Amino acid sequence: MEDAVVCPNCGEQNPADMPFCQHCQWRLRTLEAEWGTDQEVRPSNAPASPQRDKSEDASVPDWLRASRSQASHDSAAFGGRLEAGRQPAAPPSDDDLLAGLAQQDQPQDEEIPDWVARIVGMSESGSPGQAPSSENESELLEGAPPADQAPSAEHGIGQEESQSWARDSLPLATDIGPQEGANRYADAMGTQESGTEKSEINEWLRNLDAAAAASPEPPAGPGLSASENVPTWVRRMTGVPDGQPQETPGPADPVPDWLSGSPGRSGEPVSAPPSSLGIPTRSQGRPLEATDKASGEAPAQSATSAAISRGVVPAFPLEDIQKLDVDAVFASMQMPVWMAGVNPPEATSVSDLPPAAQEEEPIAPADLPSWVRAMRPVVSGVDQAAKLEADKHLEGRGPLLGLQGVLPALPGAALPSGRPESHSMKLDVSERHRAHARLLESMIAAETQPLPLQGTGQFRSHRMLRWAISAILVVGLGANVLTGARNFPLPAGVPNESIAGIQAVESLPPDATVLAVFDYEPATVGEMEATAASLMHHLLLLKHPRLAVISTSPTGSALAGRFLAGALADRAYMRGVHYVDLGYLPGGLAGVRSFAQNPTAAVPLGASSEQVWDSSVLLGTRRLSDFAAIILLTDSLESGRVWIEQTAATRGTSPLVMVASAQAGPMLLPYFDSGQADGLIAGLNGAAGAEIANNGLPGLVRRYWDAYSLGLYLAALLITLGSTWHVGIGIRERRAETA
Amino acid sequence: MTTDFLSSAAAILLTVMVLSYLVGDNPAFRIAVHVFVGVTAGYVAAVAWWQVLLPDLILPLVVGSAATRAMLAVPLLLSGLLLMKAWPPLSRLGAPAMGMLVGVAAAVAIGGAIQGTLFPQLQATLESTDPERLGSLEGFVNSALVLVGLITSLAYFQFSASVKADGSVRRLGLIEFVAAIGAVFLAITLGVLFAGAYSAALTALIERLHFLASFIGLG
Repeated sequence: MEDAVVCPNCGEQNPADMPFCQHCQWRLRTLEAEWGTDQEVRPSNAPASPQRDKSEDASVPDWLRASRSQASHDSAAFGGRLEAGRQPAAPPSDDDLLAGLAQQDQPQDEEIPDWVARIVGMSESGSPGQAPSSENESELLEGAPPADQAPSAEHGIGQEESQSWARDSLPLATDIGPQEGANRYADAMGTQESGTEKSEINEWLRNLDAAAAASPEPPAGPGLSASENVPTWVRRMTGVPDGQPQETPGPADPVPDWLSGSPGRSGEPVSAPPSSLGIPTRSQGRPLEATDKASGEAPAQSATSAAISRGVVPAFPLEDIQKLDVDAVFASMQMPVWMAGVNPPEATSVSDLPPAAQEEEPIAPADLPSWVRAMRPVVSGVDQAAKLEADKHLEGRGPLLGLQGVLPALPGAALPSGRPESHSMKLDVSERHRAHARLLESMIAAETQPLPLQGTGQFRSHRMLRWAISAILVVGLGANVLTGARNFPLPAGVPNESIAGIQAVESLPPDATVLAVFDYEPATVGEMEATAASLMHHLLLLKHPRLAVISTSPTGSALAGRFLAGALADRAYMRGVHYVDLGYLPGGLAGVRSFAQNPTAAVPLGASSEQVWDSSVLLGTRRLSDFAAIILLTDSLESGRVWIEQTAATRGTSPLVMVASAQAGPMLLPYFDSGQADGLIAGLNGAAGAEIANNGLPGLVRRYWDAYSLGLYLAALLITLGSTWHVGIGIRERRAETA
Repeated sequence: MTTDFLSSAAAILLTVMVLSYLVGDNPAFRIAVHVFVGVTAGYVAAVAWWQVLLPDLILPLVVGSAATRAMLAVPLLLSGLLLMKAWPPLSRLGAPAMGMLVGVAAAVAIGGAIQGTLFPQLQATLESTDPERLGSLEGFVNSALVLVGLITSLAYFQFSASVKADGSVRRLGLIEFVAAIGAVFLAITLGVLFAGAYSAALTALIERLHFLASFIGLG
């Protein structure tokens, strides 16, 4: 909606070409924009403005445009009367669409509010009593305030409402002449100002008074004779003080008896009407001062001004009115001719009074003519009163803090919007959270603290310690080996697993086929040969088995040949005659499983690609269970576990005896305890029992035993010394820290 | 005699070169290591050719029957695809063979572990509490140690803990006590393993020292 204009008063959007807000009737465009800046603002020249033409084309109905044209035509003649020795008067109204009607005759068939009729009824009737004097005419014509100044916020009523009824009444003033209309307007405004400070009333009126005093006497308008047909008592009721020659009633004036005792009758100035009635009178407004000035007296020294300055002297004291029987008075009084045609006003009802006369109460909406009501925009569904109340919202936060009514209260603004709800940033930290935070902080602090660098002396001490330990072991063991000392006897106690292994070997039938698995690495040859030599020697010596050698290690075949040709050299086992080399069994545990299921398929040929399964060594052996025993020589837990696991189902009743290094022995011991292995010779200690059982043959255990025992003692001694040294250093460091 | 002397001299030299590592890393030790690695690789390659490829693949394809050849077509194809792993552009072709190897190995290992280790070891642990074994003092102590060692060792690896009021993180008091006993069992176990490793190394050193002594005629 690009052409929308937001009303600065109510915040509603209106079309751009609308001069007034459709909702609150607030002027949306300035007068400069409406009429031009350099032109004299007059109803007669208003249509000459292009902006005006455009606005009229858009919003002014045809009848109103025609009326303005007529008014401008009439204003030429009317202006000619005013031009003579008179200051250019401000347009009666220039802030609304009715501006052009200020000088237009009011159609007779239009509906006129009652209170307006009471005000202007005299002029409509054309009775001479309604015509003001020439002085008043000139004064009030000049004193007619501009429309934008006449409604003041100081009136104690809403500006909008005051403007509305004032504007409504203003066109009617043209029917009775500019002077009379301005006079009426001044009366009405003066009545409104009765509840406010009079010192602040219509400063512009005072200025105009001074201008009027300096200006020459304007000629009386046609048909408006000064003070003709106006009863004197009426003039007195209007507050004109006595002593004015032109306003002093003649002796023939019919004065009602009931007015004889009024204060105005006594010649005292009347400054204000009875406030209780609230009837607007001329005596309340400043135009009275203008009247005084027109009479040649100084305003400050006039009796009226003095009376005003002294206080309020009502023309009809309330006490007197209350005492009187008003109906009887009016019934007995002789009414003037000009009042015959006037209907008795229903002044007893406050609601019938003009808005300015309704003191202490909100002004009721004016009874507007039908054509005016037709021009008013249709009231929207939003309650205007609620909207105005919401517009007075006091901003409590933000850059508009403390301001009131700055932002219009839009309908639905208080509803939840898409703006995320603000939450408090204050954390609810419990003791547990703090404990976590402290722990995290301590961890981070520990990470950021630099570790002390170890000095070179410490590295040097470690190297020296390593050299020292190496020297002790090498020298001690070397000396034992070189000397051949036999200071440490073989252990008397033989482990159960070793005894079980020896018994399993001894239980084999003679000349049986035994599968020997050499699954160890060349690095452990020294230990494995010493460990297995006694058992294998005992086996070969006692049972003379036929051996089938196999290995899951590529070097196993060579190690087997070395073992048989070295440690068991005295048994004189020949390859192909006493044993066969099945060679390398590839595939790891899968190969072991395959060999366990079908040995001939897994290893069809020997290590030298010879036919081994048809040889005399393996005659009648086709399955794993056909082997009388399986002797596993291994230096690792994995190898021993694989052979145990994969051959458990196919081994049958064939015993499985494991010869393991001292490193793998403890880990394989549970398999012996569980019955999955029939014997275990672990390390040199386990082989000692087998060698004892084999009468000390072949003697490798005994050969190594002293050095082995010495090495164990040295290790124990070094571990003890090292632990003692470490404890001593720790105690010294703690003492240093405590010191 | 000459061959034995040369082989023994080479063995003595390589042994000294390896033992030189006691004084730190040095070229002699590196040379010995490279020699061992090279010899081992060559020996393994020879073993693989002479003991695996030639008798189990090449000879059957050449002199075998049609059925044997047909049976060997699958392992030949898989072997060829497996060789593609050495060539990055075609390494993906070796994935099927590698997958087959891994799958078969895993299946065999799991099956063997369950049937050959898990169930038998559980059964053995249950049998340790057999009333017949508990009748003797030795059996009772042994069974009690096995049971206590098993429970406390497992409790040691229970790391669930809670945060105390002072911010410290601690396990339940009972778990802490049991875990402390388990730590003792674990320390003994690790000590046994270290002792076994030291014993094996000590035996190997003694064997080498005897070899040296015999070479020089003193042993």
